[in-house]
Amino acid sequence: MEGLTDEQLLALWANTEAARDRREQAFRELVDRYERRVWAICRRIVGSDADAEEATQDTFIRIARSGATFRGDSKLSTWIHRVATSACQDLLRKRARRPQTPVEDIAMVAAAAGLDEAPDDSGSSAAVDAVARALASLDDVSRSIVVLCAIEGFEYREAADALSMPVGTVKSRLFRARAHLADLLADEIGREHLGPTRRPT
Amino acid sequence: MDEHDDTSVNDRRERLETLAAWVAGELDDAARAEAEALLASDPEVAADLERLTGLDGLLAAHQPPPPPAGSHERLLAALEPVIREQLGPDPSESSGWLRNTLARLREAPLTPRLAAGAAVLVVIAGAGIGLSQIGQVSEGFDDVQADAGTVATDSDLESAPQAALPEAYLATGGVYDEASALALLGQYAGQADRWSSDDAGAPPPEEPADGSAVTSVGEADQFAFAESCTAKLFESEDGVELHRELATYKDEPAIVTVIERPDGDLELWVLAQSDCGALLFHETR
Repeated sequence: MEGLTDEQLLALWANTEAARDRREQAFRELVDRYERRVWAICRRIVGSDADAEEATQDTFIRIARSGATFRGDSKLSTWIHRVATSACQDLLRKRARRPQTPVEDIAMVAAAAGLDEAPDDSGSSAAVDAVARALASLDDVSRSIVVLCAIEGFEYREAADALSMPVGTVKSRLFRARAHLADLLADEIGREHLGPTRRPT
Repeated sequence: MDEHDDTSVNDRRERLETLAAWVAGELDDAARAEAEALLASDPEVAADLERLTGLDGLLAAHQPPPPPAGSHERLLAALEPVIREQLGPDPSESSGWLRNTLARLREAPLTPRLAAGAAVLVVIAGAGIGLSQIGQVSEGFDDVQADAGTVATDSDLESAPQAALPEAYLATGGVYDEASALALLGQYAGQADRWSSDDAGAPPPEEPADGSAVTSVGEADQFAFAESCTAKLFESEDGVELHRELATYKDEPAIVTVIERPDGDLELWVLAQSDCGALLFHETR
């Protein structure tokens, strides 16, 4: 199975005429190849280990059941990330544990969330903690857009497809989210890139 | 934060948002010219631009924590039934599936459910070929457990998964071979002549049935077999059990069950003790 491309593995899994053991091997190989990547995207979007684990499981269950629907009009990795994003959105809707706060109100959200509170377990350095908190303070959709476009390298169109929204909405929300993140993280960015003397007073 | 600060924050964020669109090349001509003029004249705007460009590096460096311990195993466990579901029933693998299940179960601690299942199994193993002596029991699962009362304790029965029991017709004592199993399936289908056999290939007992196979079964096998039956029959969410019977199949203790799948398929399972094998007769409609 190592010699097969991702797309070939999925095609083999979806081929009901193929030998059962080969199909199963192909799917397990796909899981091995993508488990960490799917985990990372889910963890960034849903923000907790428990939810990320559930979303990761749901992602691969969806892939197993809908592998035959992959048409090859995008890279398989993009398709899998899209499935993961969709699984995350469904989980977040189900949980409904965070208010769907418009990003315009992010200052209030950030204050309510307490940006100086202890972060989750996503890292130890101050910069990583600050980034995690800033991402967590975004509404779910804006956070998903940032993860897809600014971290995972999705095109606007791909993110729009993944989130079932117009491309224009993705762009405007991304720019707004980037503005708020840059503002919230000004200190961290200053330390990393500008140096303390360049920080505005 | 006073009103002045609010205005200041909003202005800064609006400026950053415009710059983000400028970086992405998404501004129209007029807005782009305005942004570029500001960039050239206002060092604060230039600093904002650097913040925006620095943001991506900061985000990229934000690696999520690794998956928690055991998540890989839990993922595989969650996928196992989906893989089986997608591969569909395959009689040639059912023995292997049971055997693998049993192998896993042997390593698992006993549970109250297991104890309840074991009571049933002891009926099989203890009664052996004399299963027919148990007689017809159609009122419910409790009656079978009552017959095994010398083995199952009260606490075992109290912890039995009563709520999970399907509304199955429950009988005992049938004596089956391939032909009569097909006939039973045919009774439920009402079209006996349409049923075909997909013999899973569970090896028939090598020894003529004289009860020796029953007494040679170890306790661990009894528990494992009972648990596999419990998991297979009681916890199935993708079918309705129409018939369950403690029986003999080719002179071997077995559980015979008929399951109707949501799509209308009927399956007759013979869970035989020898080699933990399973026979599957089914009809795809």
